[in-house]
Amino acid sequence: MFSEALDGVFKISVRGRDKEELLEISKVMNLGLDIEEMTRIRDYFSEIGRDPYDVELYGLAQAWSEHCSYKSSKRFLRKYLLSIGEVFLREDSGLREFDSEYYYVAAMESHNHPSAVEPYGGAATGVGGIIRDVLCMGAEPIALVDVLFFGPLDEPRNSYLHAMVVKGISDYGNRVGIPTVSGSVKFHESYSDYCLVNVGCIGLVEKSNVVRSRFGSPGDVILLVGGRTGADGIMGVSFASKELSEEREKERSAVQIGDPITKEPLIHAILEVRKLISGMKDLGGGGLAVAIGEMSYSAGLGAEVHLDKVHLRQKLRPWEIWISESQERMLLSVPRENLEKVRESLDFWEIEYSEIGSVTGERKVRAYYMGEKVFEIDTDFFVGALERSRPYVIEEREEKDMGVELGDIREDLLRILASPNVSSQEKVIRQYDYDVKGNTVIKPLQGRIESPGPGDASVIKAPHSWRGIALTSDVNPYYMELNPYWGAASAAEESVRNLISVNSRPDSLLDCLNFGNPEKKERMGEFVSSLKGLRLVAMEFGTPFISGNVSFYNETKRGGVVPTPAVIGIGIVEDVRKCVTMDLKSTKSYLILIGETKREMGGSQYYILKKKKYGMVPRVNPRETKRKAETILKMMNSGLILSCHDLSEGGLGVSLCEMALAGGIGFEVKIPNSYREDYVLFSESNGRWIIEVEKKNLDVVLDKISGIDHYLIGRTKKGEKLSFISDSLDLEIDLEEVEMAWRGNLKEVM
Amino acid sequence: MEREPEGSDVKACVLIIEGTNCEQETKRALDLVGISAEIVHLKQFSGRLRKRDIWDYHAIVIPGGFSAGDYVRAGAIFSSYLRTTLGREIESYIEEGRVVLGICNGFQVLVESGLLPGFNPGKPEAALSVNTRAKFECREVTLLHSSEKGRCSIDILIEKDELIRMPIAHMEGRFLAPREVLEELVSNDQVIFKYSDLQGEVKSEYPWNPNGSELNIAGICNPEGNVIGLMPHPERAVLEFQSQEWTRGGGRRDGFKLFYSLKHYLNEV
Repeated sequence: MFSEALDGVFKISVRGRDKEELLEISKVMNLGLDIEEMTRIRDYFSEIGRDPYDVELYGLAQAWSEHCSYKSSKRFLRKYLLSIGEVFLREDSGLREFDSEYYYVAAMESHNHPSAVEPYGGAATGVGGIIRDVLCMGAEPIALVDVLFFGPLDEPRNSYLHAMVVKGISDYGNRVGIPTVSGSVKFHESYSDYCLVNVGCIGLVEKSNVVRSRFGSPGDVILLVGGRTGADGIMGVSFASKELSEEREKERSAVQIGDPITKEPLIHAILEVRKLISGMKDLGGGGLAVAIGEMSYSAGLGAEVHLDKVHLRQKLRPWEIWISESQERMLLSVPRENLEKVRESLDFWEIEYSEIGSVTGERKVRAYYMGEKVFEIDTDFFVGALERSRPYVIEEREEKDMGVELGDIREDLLRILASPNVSSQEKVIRQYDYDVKGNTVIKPLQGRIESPGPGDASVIKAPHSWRGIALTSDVNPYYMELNPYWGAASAAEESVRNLISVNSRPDSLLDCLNFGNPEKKERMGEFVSSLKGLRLVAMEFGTPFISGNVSFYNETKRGGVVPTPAVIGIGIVEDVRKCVTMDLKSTKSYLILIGETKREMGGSQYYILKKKKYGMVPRVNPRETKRKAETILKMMNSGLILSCHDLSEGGLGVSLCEMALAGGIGFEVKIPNSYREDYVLFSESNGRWIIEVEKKNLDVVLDKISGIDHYLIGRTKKGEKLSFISDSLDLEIDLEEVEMAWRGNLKEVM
Repeated sequence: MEREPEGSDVKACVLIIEGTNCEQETKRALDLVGISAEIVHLKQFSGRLRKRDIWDYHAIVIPGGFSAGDYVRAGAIFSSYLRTTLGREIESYIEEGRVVLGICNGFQVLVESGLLPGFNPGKPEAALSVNTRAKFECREVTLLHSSEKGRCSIDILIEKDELIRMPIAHMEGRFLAPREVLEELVSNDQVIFKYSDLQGEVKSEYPWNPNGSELNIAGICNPEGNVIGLMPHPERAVLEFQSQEWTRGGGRRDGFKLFYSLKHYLNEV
């Protein structure tokens, strides 16, 4: 079946092989291709009348992996997410207009499998990869966002993963000098022994400096730029496209090792040469093979490359050079007349590079090793062909709410404040340099220096103007567990609400879709439901999904993770000087609850506390939310709102406490009596905010919100007391207790 | 002076190597106060490409970052490059009275080079060690200006005992030195800034002293006052919208004052 054709290159006889034999080849070579795919390969080579080299099979296996080809998700993404709104460009990153001179550039990606195996390196590499996705559009990266999911920290393995992932992101992001300004850390038992690491990066690019992720013209020189190619990350995408085995320690070689200090000069060099090059792409999953294939395919061209020209870290076989996923590498196509200038920049920054070949007019990708051809496949077959139709089933969700017994509300409130998904993430946030570059005008921790609270979104000011970009992220695993459709819709809606809270106009969304094995039809059904949920909200707000990725096979021997469509929201701030934060500002103001509180307790922190996994997951009414959002933005721009905070996990009770602790100001509120007081206090209904309004503006504000659901719930007051009053409730808590619970010192309070 | 910098404007060089990452905002801050700043890679002082001369600049600012990755001691590799590239020239530059300002990683470089505290240039007498909590720490801190007004070239506009605020972001900022060095620093009035609580009381506990520095030291100068090292980042505090509490009416731009002082100083020299 295998014969050595050249030194280190094998020929595999696939022609005339039956199904079992083909599967055996896939298995022995660890290609991760199934019978349908292997058959296509056999037929292709039968037709061209020769057997493939190992370089070709490994190349195809990478290009056809779920990770690179989106073969299972493509059709659904097209149908539900990619048909919303207008996007200037959707390549390695998505581009939308920022102002008349600039586009903003954004990308989001998962790095789950590698992080579960080697959390420090895996997370760091995730950050590195996403920065390159933005950089390769010619953009300067200005911010990072990370969205992390772990199992409960009382299990040592989870605690280890959490600590090392945070350290990996912090070491890499801080070193490379791009602020990590926003993100979230969520906990759910389904992530136990595993973790999801989703990272996003935003950049800005002058319109004239955009570089496309495709080859320029035939004859252009192909440069491989940056770190040396080594044995790390070989078969990384095949590894990411299957369930994690128990032999995870043995899979460590599939995790790449990043080096931020190679990247940093690379950023300088790339930004210098961007006007001189005809195309650029970062080398990610599938390495050189996939980058060459995709740049050829997008341009409708081909390429000829010489694998022996690649600068190596160690001796590698041709197929290994072809698919290695070593970090900090970029592929550039350079018109010959600009080659000297590009070389000067790369030499100045001491970036290693090799001229590995040239662009051709024929739609074929060819690779040579020591003058011998070892790869020749039609571009369209190599990267364009594959699409799979996976069967799916959408399961009915039972949402009956059996209620809970009314307990001690004071104790429940403190326990929720102290719970993993609500309590302060300050210890994590402070390990990230959220301030580097000096543009972070609204920070992740907002309010008074000595006791800041959790901001809904962060804002980066554009260096050249007062405009800014607001960033937030969201998804609630508990909603997703009970109801993927409404859970996903809630994730998109909360992102939008968070953007509104700081006075930004929601402009686009990024999606990182983390799901289980798509070959299981229930998992595929969850995927489809989630996309529909995301679409519901994005359509109403006209916020396109400009970039994202799909990560399937997030399963371990303990089962699949809950479907987790992590969303990053991007908002445009007209004038950063008008931004609003969530901390209470004055001791003499009024508090107004915007939006209706319903008894939607499914997946709420209150029910989690009571260990109840039933009830209705919060619904979304995007049209109503949009109406409220527009009213709020208008009032903010007129300076009528002192502070604003979105209501999410822990509901009204938690949000009010957060505003108080961040402002160091007490309050007295009368909670609406539509339901029993605990339901009202802890319901997580969507479409709600609390706004703080000065006395002198109260009438104007009440007039402006007369057409939307709102409740004047109380006033702020001097002192350190927080009072919640209703017909049947008279609760007073010290601000200090709330602060201590939220900061993780619950024992001292109880 | 060996050579007068060209033009009438005061010029500063923002000196970088691989891994420096605060150069853009540092240049922006200098430009904002009217110091014309250029980002220069250290190798431009010696190599063949894009050649520059340190005597063309009135001041050298070494910005923050993780020079060379800081995989050894923070600032150690930059400091050794500085020595091999400029040799004694950097000392002549300082003896001439020109200014060298190190921020965060730049401070670490100056301490590693022995240019700070500067009792015996070339011999390191202090260290910026790993924070007591062994974690990277990003937060806005309050600083007490503990030296006399105008003690060094960046505090001409700052009163003694004035409180200012700037952010810190570092893993290795804990100032350590033998007792006699600390005593000499104090007796020479070389301790410019000390971490304090919001009211200006110098407290040794976290978070007021965020890294465990001896004497709460956040910034020092050499005996002559023209070499300065700061752990906090003044370049991140030049607009009121950069400060933590600006939405609470607490917007400040204390970093601007420091750079503006530098401009005054350079104009006078």
